[in-house]
Parts: sequence; C-alpha cells; structure tokens
Amino acid sequence: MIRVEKVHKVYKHRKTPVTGLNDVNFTIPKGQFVAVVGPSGSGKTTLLVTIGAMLRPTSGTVHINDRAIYSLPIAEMAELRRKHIGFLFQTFNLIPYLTAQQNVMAPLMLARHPAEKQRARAVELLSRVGLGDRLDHKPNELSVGQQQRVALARMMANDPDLILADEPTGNLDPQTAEEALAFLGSLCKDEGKTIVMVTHSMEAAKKAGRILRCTNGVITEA
Amino acid sequence: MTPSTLAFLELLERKNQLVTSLVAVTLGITAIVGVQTIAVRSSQEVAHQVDALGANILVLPKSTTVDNYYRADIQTEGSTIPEEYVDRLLMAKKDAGLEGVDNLSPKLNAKVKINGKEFLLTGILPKNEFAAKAAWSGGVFDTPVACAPNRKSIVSFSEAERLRRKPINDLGTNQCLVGAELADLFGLKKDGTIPILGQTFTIVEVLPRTGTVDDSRIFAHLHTVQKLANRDRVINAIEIVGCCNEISAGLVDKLNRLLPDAKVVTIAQVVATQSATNQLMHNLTYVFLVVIILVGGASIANYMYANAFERRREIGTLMALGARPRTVLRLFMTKAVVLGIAGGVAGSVLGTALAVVLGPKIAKIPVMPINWLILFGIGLSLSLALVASFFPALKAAKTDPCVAIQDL
Repeated sequence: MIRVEKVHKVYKHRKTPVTGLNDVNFTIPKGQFVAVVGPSGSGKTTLLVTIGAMLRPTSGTVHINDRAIYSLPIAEMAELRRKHIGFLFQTFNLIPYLTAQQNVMAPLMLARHPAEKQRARAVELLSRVGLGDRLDHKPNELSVGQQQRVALARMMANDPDLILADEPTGNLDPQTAEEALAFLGSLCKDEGKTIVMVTHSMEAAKKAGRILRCTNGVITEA
Repeated sequence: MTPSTLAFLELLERKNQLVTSLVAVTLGITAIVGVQTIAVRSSQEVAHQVDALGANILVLPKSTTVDNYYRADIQTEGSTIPEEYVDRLLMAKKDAGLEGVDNLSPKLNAKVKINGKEFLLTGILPKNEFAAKAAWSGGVFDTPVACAPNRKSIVSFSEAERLRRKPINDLGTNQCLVGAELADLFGLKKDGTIPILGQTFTIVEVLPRTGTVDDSRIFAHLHTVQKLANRDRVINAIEIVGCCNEISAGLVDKLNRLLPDAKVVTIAQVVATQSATNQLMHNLTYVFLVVIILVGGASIANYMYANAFERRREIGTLMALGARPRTVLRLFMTKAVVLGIAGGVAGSVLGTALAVVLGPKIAKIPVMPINWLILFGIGLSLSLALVASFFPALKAAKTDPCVAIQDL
C-alpha cells in the first residue's frame, strides 16, 4: 500500500540546513499495523506527514496504492487525504467552536456528503466510541479522553484505508491509552485498515505488528 | 453542514472580533450615506430654489442689455425677436433632446395709457408665464421645477395642474391679469373690466403683490397684444427656467447656436454660486469616500489577517482532513460577505436616519431617505469587505498544512 523510496527532507532553519529525513526506504503492505518509534526530534512526525501527502520531500517519492502522491495536483492530493487517509493528532486538533457531532461531520462535509448522511454517520461513529450522549458538547466541555474519542470518530468519518496516528496516546492516562490502542488494533484486525502510528512509547509500539525505528531521520527495522 | 455553515459558526464563536470590524464598517458607511444623503437633498433643494426664483436664462434681442431687462423690462421700439424662436426651442427640446430647458415664457411689452397714466401691457402665452412666475404661487399657480423632480408640492399634482390649467385654458384673447398696485389704483377686481387700446378686457385675476414692476403691469394674451400694438409675430424676450446643472454643462452655448441672431444670457452669478456650493458638497463626499475606503478596507484586512493567523491550526486540520484550498478561501470570503452586508445594511440605515434627523438642523433643509443611496451603501460595504478580505483569504488558502499543525 505504501512505498517510500529514497526520501530526503531537508529544512532550512535560519539558512542552516536541517535534515528531517535521510534516504528513507520502506514498504508497508495493506492491512499492516506499523509503529514508528524514536526520540523527540528524530523525524517521526516528519515521516508521518510526508506519507500523509502533507509535506513534499526534498527528493524521493512516496507511493500510496501505486500512485506517486507528490506528482498529483493539489486538488487531487486533497482528495486523497479526504477519501483514503485518516489523521489522528497528538493534540486531537478538534475545531473548538464545533460540537462533537459537528467535528465528526467536518470531513463528511469536505467530501460533500448530504447533510442528512453527515448527521447519521456522525451519530453512528460517536455512538460507537461511547459518546452517543455527548453529541452537542463542544471540546472544552469534554474530558481529554472524550476528546480523543471524538478525534477517533472524526478520523473514521470517511472510512479511510490508511490511518496515520501521531502520538495518539501522548496525552492520555494509561487506561484511556490502552483503550485507544485497542481500538486502533481492532481497526487493523477487523477492518483491514493500514495503520502507521508514531510514538515514543515502546509499550504502545508493541501493540503494532511491526516496529520501525527512527533516529536522526534514518529509518531502520527494529 | 456546508463550508458556509462552518463560516457562520466561526463568526458566532468570535463575536468580539466580529463586532469590532462590524462597527468600523458600519461607521464608515454611516458617514458616507449620511453625508451624501444630505448633499444630494441639498443639491435638489438648491436647484429647486433656483428654479423657484423664476427664469434664469434670458433670450433677448442683440441690442437689448440685461440691465434694461432687470431695471424695467421696458424694451425700446424695434428691439424684438421673432416669436418663431419659441417654436425653434420647443422643436429642439422635442427632436434634439435639448436638456435642461423648461418653462419657456415669451413676452411682448407695449406702453399703454389708462386714465391718463402710463402702464406696461405685457403679452404672454399663458401656460408658460404662469409656470415661470414663482411669486404668484400659492394663490393661483404652482411652479413646476426643472431640476428637482422629487420635490413634493404642497398641493397634489393633479390639483395644481387643475389650478394651472384653469387660467391657461380660460385666458382668452380679451382677458387679462392685473398687478396689485394697478388694481388698487383703479379699484379693479376679479371679473371686472378694463379698456386697453380700444379693447375691453375682462379681469381673470388680480395678482398678489410682489414688490416688483409686475405690480403695475397688465398681462394679456400675447397674440392680442401683438395685434393691438401692431407688432405681429414678434416678442421682446423669452424667459427660460434652465436647470442649473445643464447651464453649467453648456446649455447657454447650445441655445446660442440654436438662436444665433439673439442674445442668450444667464443670471450667471446666482447659477455659478449655487453650482459651486453643490460641487463643494459633492467633493467633500468624495473625500469622505476615499478616506473611509482606505480606513475601512485596512480595518477589514487587518481583521482577516489576524483571524487567518489565529486559525492556522484549524486551517491545517481542515486541510489534513482533505479541504481544498478553495474551500478555505470560501470560508473567509463567506465571512467577508456577512461582514459586508451586515455593515452595509446597518450603516446605510443609520446614515439615512441621521441624515433625516440632522439634515434639517445642519443644512436647514428637509431630508428624506434616498433608496439608491441605501443600496449604494450596502454595495460599497460588500465590495470593500470582499476586496479587503481577498488577499488574507488567499494567504490562508495557501497555508502549509504541515507547518500549521506543527506550529503549536
């Protein structure tokens, strides 16, 4: 499903080049749960957003389902993210002025689904994550764990093939973290989703079927 | 939910910022609409007053001076122009669209003796003369206006028209109107008679006192006076009520070209003063407009830039979820539309209300709302909001989603 070939990413920090990714090569088949571990600043998030068609590499190619994503026009890259990729952020990135239901409806709105379908799908997903009674709560009216579940529901809205999770348990207590990881695991096992999870926790990484290590922008098999 | 819904929800969430920008836009539009409403009404009032003063263009024989005309309106023998000039003016108005000419009033004067005293007998074509003489209004006649079509007369149009038509239709060849002083001197009354040059005239009306030479004048039908004075088909002058704006635009030159053998003059000072006053008020409005566009536009642009910066994480999230750049553009432009319309409506209504309330106090004129100005205010506000918001919106749409997410 994902093929990364000779990817380099170099940032410019006050005219000084900073290497984010250094000659990264790997393949992730469909339906695999992969964890990427490494210390802070090692390039894990850079790798994640590069795979997610959000950060063009300095050189190299990224293929998703045999399509070179960075040769696509901007509109098609957006469509790729809309239809095939689900993001889960460490800080959830819920839109603060939208309710839980509206936050889950947002990706459905971007996919131009009719309003009724948006509402129904949002209710279904929030009920699935145990928030059926919190539909009209805004993020600041929810606990951290509940916000994470809204983020999970939103991530699932357009039924993506590929899930990219950036430190999904970083802000959670151990029990909630365990629940979140279990949920991700079930998505992979039961629904065949491909999951790439970035984490600095080896405990969390062990839930995945494969671990890649990222050190100073270099990826190796753990 | 649609992108527009998202835009509305965000607007409602950040009310303080919205209110600040809305107030700036509203105040700007209030100023423009308010000042322009007063300026337009003032121009109309000034034009009406000039029209109401009576004729402001004179067509005279080349040998006659304006001074003669003003002093006594007594023409020397032989100083005449053909009555055909009236037809020429009417044809030019009808066929060539000569603008700004109204209330043509041809006149012929003859000296007559009544009971040994000399008076002036003036031949007029009744319809035009009545309409051009503002001093007689309120009693018998009403004054149509050349340049202030929105002016509402005290008497309704149909009634005024009836009053006007009664003397026009009824001033026969042996009927006359007499000035107040002459009537007092000889004890003349309405429906009485007076002999002039061997013909007996029935008095249709005694004119109200004006304090001018007209108080000692007798007005009769032009063609009767021509016959009695043996001056067939000639006149001494044509008094014209011309529209101030058209006079400024070269009406006098057009009349001179149409009547090359006559002298066309204006009450230049009055016209120039009034036109200058109107122009000054309009110029001030344009200055206001420029200032408000710059200040209002800068305020809106600043608000949008700040809003885009504050929402960069949200924008990055939306892009990560698959938002197209034009969706982000639409979010911001929808806000601009709401801001523009709301500010325009509020500003136009408030500006109009202030003009209606303050106009009489400041400009000493009654001020009524002007519909097209209200629409102009809304249109201006909307355009300003859209233009000022475009570049901030474009910048937001080009946000690097990765940088936006990692920023915090």
